[in-house]
Amino acid sequence: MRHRHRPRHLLVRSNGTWRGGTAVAVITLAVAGVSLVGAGYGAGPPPPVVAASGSGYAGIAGAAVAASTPVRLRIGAISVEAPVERVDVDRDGTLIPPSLREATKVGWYERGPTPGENGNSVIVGHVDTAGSGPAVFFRLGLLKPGDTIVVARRDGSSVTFAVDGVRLYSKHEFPAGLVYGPATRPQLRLITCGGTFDRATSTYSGNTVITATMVSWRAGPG
Amino acid sequence: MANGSMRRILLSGGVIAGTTAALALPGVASAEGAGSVTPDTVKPGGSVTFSTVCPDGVKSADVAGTVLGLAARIPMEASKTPGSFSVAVDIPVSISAGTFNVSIDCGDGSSSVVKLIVTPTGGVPTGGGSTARGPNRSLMAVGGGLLLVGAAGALFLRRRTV
Repeated sequence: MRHRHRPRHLLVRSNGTWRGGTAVAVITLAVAGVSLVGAGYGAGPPPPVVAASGSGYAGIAGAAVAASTPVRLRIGAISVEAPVERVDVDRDGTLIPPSLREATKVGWYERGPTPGENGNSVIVGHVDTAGSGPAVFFRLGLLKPGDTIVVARRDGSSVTFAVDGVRLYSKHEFPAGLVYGPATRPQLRLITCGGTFDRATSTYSGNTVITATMVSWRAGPG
Repeated sequence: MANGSMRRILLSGGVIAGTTAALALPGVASAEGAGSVTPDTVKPGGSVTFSTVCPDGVKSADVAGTVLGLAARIPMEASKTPGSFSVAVDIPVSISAGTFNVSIDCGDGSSSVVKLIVTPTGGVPTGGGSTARGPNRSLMAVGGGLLLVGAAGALFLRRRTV
């Protein structure tokens, strides 16, 4: 039996059994390998649970309040608690959400009404990051009609909305009127990505859109 | 006199049910609500139709297009119904998203203001793809590689020890 001292005795005892470190290394490789292969398959962000539009909330809609920019968004049902920043369109007219590096933030479309004013107030957030997993709106598609969304505003007040509908739209059929159009009551629209991801263009095929109607207002934090 | 103004208010009230806004505004308020735009929400590059109903006897009407980056006076076409005018307008592709208050002016000087919302284009790019469905080949390749290394190492060590 020829001896190759260097690798053998570091990894294997003279009686032939593996040293502890060797076993740990092999197990680690196996676990890491299986995990990465599994992650490669990917579970994906949850799709919308309810494929319904229209009003799911039967309560009385709250009356409009004075304009005040949103500062914080809270959705208890899916454990979202996020700072809100202002977002705008780029030169091509595309609404640009907060940076992927700050994917825990959400963005309020500053050319539309503030939450609580009459009309559709729009807040967008990422579903996932480019490399580090879920982002702030990963579970947005799990919301159900009646779930509440609380927006804290700069004037110290908070406005509560109830979810009306949850729906996934192809980006080619993005419902611009439903999201940005006029409304006679205070409404909220939450948007994130959904559908399949095209790695060549780094884009998702669709947008998950939450429609919600204001139900109450509080002078202090909700 | 009272009859005349009553009729103008009734005409203008045809579109807007809530009268408080119309009554609160003096002067041109009598024509408030006579105009409309369909659809009221449009993407840059889209097309909308402005319509209005002018007082009896008015022969022309136009849309003040300056706020939309168009001609200052876009002439409207008279429809079969006396006093009704409309015109289809292409919204410039270069227009910036936002809410635009567009004035529709009748030939007698009365006017109404309609609200047109120009939306951002397309959907919203809200994902980086790290949790996306469908196989991530590079991730699977790295994982598979690690498995091979582990298996090869284990085999190598076993053979050597037997």
